Amino acid sequence: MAETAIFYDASKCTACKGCQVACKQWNQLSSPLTADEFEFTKSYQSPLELADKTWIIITFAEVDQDIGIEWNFMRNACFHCTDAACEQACPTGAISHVENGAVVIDQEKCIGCRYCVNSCPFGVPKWREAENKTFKCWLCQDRQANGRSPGCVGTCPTGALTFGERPAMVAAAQTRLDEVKAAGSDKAELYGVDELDGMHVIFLAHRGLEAHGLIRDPQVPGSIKFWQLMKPLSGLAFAATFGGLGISFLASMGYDRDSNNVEEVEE
Amino acid sequence: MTNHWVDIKNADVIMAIGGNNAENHPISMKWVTEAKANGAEYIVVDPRFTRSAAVADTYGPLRSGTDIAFFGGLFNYIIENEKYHDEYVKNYTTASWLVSPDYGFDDGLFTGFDDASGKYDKATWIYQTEGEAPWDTSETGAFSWVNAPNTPAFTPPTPKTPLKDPTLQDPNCVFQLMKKHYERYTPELCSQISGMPLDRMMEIWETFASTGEPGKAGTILYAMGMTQHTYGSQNVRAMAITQLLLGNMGMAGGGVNALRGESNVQGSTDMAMLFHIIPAYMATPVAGTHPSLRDYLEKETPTGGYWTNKPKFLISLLKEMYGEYATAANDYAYDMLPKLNGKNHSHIAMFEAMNEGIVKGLFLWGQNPAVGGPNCSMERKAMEQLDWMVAVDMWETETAAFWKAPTIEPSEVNTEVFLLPAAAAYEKAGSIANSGRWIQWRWKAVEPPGEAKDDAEIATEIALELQRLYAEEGGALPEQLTKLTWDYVDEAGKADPTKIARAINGYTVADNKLVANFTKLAADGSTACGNWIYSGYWNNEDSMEPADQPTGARDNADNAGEGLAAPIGSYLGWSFAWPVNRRIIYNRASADPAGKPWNPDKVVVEWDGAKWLRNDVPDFGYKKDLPDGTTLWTPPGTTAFIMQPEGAGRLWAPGMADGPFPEHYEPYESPTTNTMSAQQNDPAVVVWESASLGSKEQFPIVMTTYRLTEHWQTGQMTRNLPWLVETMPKMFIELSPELADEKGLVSGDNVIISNNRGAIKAYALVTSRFKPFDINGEIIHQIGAPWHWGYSGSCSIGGIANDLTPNVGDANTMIPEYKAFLVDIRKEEV
Amino acid sequence: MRYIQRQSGLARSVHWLHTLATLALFITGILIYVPSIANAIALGTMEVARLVHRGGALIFLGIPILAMLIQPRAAAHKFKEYFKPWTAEDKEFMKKFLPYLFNPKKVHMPEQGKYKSGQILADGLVIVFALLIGISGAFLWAANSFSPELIRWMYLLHDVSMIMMGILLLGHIYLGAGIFKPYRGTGRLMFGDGKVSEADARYHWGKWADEEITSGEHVVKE
Repeated sequence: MAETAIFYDASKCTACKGCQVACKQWNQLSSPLTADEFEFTKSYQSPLELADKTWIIITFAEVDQDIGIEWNFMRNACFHCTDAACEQACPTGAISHVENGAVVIDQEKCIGCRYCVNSCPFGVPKWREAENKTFKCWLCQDRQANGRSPGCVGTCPTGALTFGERPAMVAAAQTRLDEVKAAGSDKAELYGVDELDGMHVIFLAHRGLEAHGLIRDPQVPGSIKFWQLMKPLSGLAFAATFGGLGISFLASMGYDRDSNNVEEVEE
Repeated sequence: MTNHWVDIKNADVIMAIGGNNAENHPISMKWVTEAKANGAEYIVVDPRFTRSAAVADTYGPLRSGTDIAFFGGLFNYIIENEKYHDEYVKNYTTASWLVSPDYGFDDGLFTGFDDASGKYDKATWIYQTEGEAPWDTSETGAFSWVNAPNTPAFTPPTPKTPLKDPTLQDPNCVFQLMKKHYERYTPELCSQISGMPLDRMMEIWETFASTGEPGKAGTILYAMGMTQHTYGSQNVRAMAITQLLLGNMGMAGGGVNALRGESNVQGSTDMAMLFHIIPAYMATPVAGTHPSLRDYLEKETPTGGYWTNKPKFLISLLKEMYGEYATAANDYAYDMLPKLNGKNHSHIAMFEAMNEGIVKGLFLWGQNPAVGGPNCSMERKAMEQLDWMVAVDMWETETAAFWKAPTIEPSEVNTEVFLLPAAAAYEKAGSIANSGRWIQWRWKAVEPPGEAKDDAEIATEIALELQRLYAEEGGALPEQLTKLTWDYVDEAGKADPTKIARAINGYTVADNKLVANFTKLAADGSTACGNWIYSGYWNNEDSMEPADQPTGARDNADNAGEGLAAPIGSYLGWSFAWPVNRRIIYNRASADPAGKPWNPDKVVVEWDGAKWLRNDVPDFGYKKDLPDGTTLWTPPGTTAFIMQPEGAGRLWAPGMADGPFPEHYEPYESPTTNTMSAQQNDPAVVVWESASLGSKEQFPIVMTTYRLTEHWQTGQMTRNLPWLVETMPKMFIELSPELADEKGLVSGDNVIISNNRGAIKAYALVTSRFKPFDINGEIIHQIGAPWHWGYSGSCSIGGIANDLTPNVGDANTMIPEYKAFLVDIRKEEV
Repeated sequence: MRYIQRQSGLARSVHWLHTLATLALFITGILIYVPSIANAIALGTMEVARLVHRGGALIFLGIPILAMLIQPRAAAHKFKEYFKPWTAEDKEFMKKFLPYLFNPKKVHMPEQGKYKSGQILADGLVIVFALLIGISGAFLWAANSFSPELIRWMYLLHDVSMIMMGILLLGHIYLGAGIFKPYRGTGRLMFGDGKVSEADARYHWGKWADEEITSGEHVVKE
C-alpha cells in the first residue's frame, strides 16, 4: 500500500470545527454530559487543547490590523511524522508506523508510561488515567482500510482538508502554494513535506508558519536521542562491570591472606 | 436564492453582506473557495470580523443597520462612473419607464405620506401610460382560458401601455429619478453614517461594480443581517437594484441569494407558513377586500407577466383543498378559505394579541419563541395568558417550559401545556427545499424513538379527529373542516408522504393522472394542485417510488446542454428545482437581446439563430411543442423578467409600503441622528408600546445578534448534544478592547447587558474582531452576542440575547429588528 | 577467638530493609525498562511492577532518613567521618585499589581507619545517585505537572543514575558478599550479628582494629 496523507489548506479553512466533531463521532470519543463540565475558553477555540478524547482541534490566532484582523486557523492533530519521537520513545513497541505511513498506538501494547506524551515535540499523544493508556489520532485506519478518507476529511465542507496518496498531496500542496503566492500571500509556506523526514499531514500556512502557530524546523528532542543510547549503554556498562569483576575474581582465586599478606603489620 | 449553491462557483465577485456564510452556511464555502481558486474576489461586509471575513479578500466593517447607506452610495458610484451594464439596464430593467410627474421625494419622505395613519397613499407612485392593451380573450388569443366553461367569471385587468424613454434622458424616467435620489449618497456621507473607512468602502464599491462589465458576474449572499431591520425589505430591494444595474440577475454566478438558515425554511415559505400568503405566494384573502372569488381574482390578478395565470393556480389549489365539494357553482368553495380581518397577524402582532387575551391557544411546531422571539421576556409573559399550548418538538424547549422560566412562578400559570415528541429529520420521509429551491426527497433512515411521531402523522391525526368531531358534534362553520380533503393516508390510515407529494404536484381531476407541470393547470376545475410552483416535482405516473420521481432524482453528472461546449454546474438530473427544474431564475437576462450570452464561457441559455441552446431550463416561453410533433422555437425578445407585470426588472418598486426607492433611515434604536434626511426612522413602521424603546443617552452601545457555526437557532438541537456544546460551551458577548478598557472588563468576566426590555448575563470575550466605529464624527461602540442560549437544555444554559431585542417590525413584512438595537453593559459585581 | 562488634542492630535492620527495597526496585525497574519481559509474564505485570517500584522507592529513600532520625548522633558522627581530610594512607588506598582488585596477591593495601577511603567514595557516590534517582523519580511520578522537556531530561537522569547505582551495587555485592576472595567472611557484618573477627578487622581496617582491641569496649570473645 502506498503512503497516504492529509493535505490541510489553511487558506480554505473557515474553522467551522466540523472536523473536530466528525472525529469524535467516528471514533466515538465522548464529551462530558453535564453542563458544568464545560468552561468558557475566552476564545472561539474550544476545546483549547488536545486530549485523550480530543484528537483534533482547530486553533485560532488573532493578529490585529487597522481594519479587522488576520484570523489564522490551524489544524492541530497528530502530524504522523516519519521521524516520530513518540515511536522512538515508546519502550513497548506500542507505537509504530503502519504501511500507509501513519503513526498508530496499539492499545494492547500501551503500558501508559507516557514517554510518548513527553517526547512528542507537538504535545499530541494524551494519556487517559482511567485506562492508563495513551491516545491520539490514528488517521482513521479503519476508514482507510475500506477505501475512505479519514473522518475529519470526509466532513470538511470547504475542501480545506483533502486526502490521498502522499506524493499527490505534496504535489497538490505545491500547486496551491504557487496559487496563493501568485494571489498575494507572499508569506505562504508548506509544512510537513520535509519536516521530520516527512509528515503524513501536509500543511499550507498561507500567512507563514509562525502566524499559524506551527513550530519551524521541529526536531525529535535531543534527550530522546541520548535516551535511545541508554539501553545499549546500560547493557554495556553492566557487561563491563561483570567482566571486570570476573577478571578480579579470577585473579583473586587461590588468594590466601596469610601467605600473601607478606607486609602484615607487626605490633 | 435566485441562483443556487453550486452556482456561486461561477461568480467573478462574491459579496457577503448581512450574512455570515462561512459560519452559518458552511457548505457555501465549498463553492466560494472554488470561485476564489478560479480568481474570484470575495468581499465580506459585516459589523464584526467573522470567520467569513477571515477568508475574504476584502473586509468592510459597517455599523449594524446602515446597509442602505452603503448601497445608496454604491448606486451613486455606479451611475456617476457609468459602471452599469448599459445594454442590460436599457433592455431588461424599468430604467426607461416614465413615472408620473406627481411622484416625488423630499427630505426623507416620498409623496403621499399621511402622518395620521403613518402610511403612504401610493396614488402618485405610478408609471406614465398611454392607451390600453386589453387581454386577448378570443378563442385563438393567449387568454382564451378566461372564457372557458366552468371558469369563474371575472373581469380581466386592463394593461396600459407604458411610456418609456430608451435614451434614459427624460427627467421622469426611472433612471433619472434614481440618479437624482442617490446623488445625495456621497461617499463621505455614506462612510460617516456606516462607519466604514472611506478608502475601504470605495475599494469594495469599485470591486463589486467591476461586474457591471458585460460578461462579468457578481453574486450577493445575504441572510438575516439584511432582513431583520425595520427597513429589511428595502435592504433586499437595494441588493436587487444593484444586481439589475450591474446586469448580474439571471447570470451564472450572479443573482440575489438569500441563504436560508434552516434546512427547510424555503419549503415552509413555499408552503405559506406565514399569515399573509396561501401556498405558492398568493395573497391570503382579506374579508373586506376579497369577499368573493370574483373580487379576489380581479384584485389579485396582475395585468401582465406569468402571474396572469393566478386564477388557474388558485382554482387548482381550491380543487385540491376541497375536492369534489369545490365546484364552479359554489365558486370552488372560496367561501371555505379563511379570510383575514385586515389586521396584521405576524409574529409580533400575534404575541401582542396573546398578551391582550385575544389569542387563547398556541400551537408550536418546531418553534421556540421564548428564546427566538424579539423582546422575548415579554413574549414569555404573554404566554401566561394562554389557556393552552401544544408544543411539538424533539426536546422540552424554553417555550414548552415557559412556565419554568427563571422569572415566572409556575403556580401562577394556568396554561395547560402539551408536549408532543417529534421525529427528527432522519426519522421521517418527505421532501425538503433548500435555499437554491431544490426540492430533495429525504428517505427515512430509522424509526423515531419512543412515542415520537412524524409531523405529518401528528397533523393527520389531529385533522382527522377534528373532522370526526365536527361531523359528529357540529360547531361553528363545520364545513371548513368536514369538506376539507384529507386523504393523504395509506391503507392503514397512516400519513403517507407520497400522497401528499402527489397532491402538491397536481393532477387532472377527471382521470386522476399527475400533471407534467403547472403549465397544464386550468382555471375551470379540471385540475387540482396543492402548490403550483412545485408542480413537476412528482409527475411520474408510472411509479410512486420517490427515487423514480424528479424530486428523488440523483444523477450527479454535470452535463453540458446539447450544442454547448461546457456545463455550468446546473446538475439538472439532481433533484428538482422550482419552478420547472429551473436552476437560475431570470436566466433570459444572461444573454443579450439577440440571445447571445453575455459570457460565452458560462452559457445559461443561447439563441443559435434557430433554437435555444440550454444549460438550464429557460425562464420564458422558449418553445412550443406543436400537435404535429414539431417544435416551434420562440425567437429572442426582451421580456427577461416574466414574473413582473413590467416584464422587466424593477429599479423602482411602487409596491413597497415605505417607498419605491430604498432610503436610509436609522434603526429604531440608533446611536446617532440620521444625517441623510430629517426622517430619523422608516416612517411606515408600526411600533407597539411594549417595545420599550430606549435612547442613546441611556444606552449608548449598539448591539447585534447572530448565530455561530457550532450552534443552531435557539440551541435545542445543539445545546443538548455534548459534542457540539464542547465546541462552544458558554453564552458570551463580544466587545472591542477599547470598550473593554472603558468598562474595566477582561475576557472571562461576567457582564450584564441591559436595556429597557431586559438584562442578561454573559461572559465577556474581548477581541479586536470588534472595533469602535467613527459615526458622524463620534466614536460608537458595537457589541454582539449569539442568541443560542436559554434556560432549557442538558449541557449548556445561558442568557437569552433576545430578551434585549426590540419587537419592532419591518414596514413591509413585520420581521423584527433583531440586528440593530441599543444596550449598556457593566461588569457583574460578585 | 576475639570479635569486634562493628555494626549496630539498627544499622543491620536498615541494611536488611534496604537490601529488600533495592532488590524490589531493581527487579521492577528492569520490568519497566524492558517492557517485553513484563508483557511476557502476565497481563497487568507492568501495573504491579510500577506500583511496587514506587513503593520500593519510598522505602529505599525513607529507611535511611528514618534511621538518621532515630540515631541523629550516630548519623552526624558518620557524616563527620565522611568529610575528614584524607590521610596519606587513604590516598594510597585509592591509588592501589584497582591494581589490588586485579592482582590482590601482589598488591598490598595500606592500613585503614574505621572507614576505608574507597568505602567513603563509594558511599558518597551511592548517596549522590540515590538522591538523583529519587528526585528524578519524583518528577516522573508527577510527570503531568511538569513540562515535557523537563520530564524528558528526568527520564535520562533516572536511567543514568540507575546505571551508576547498578555498577555500585554489583561492586558492593562483589566485595561485601566476599565473592572477591580477600573479602571473604565479612557477610555476617550486615546480614549476621554485626561482628567481625579480629583477623578480618585487622586486614580491612588495621588502624581501627588496633584502637578497638586496645579499648576493648566492643570486643567480645566466643
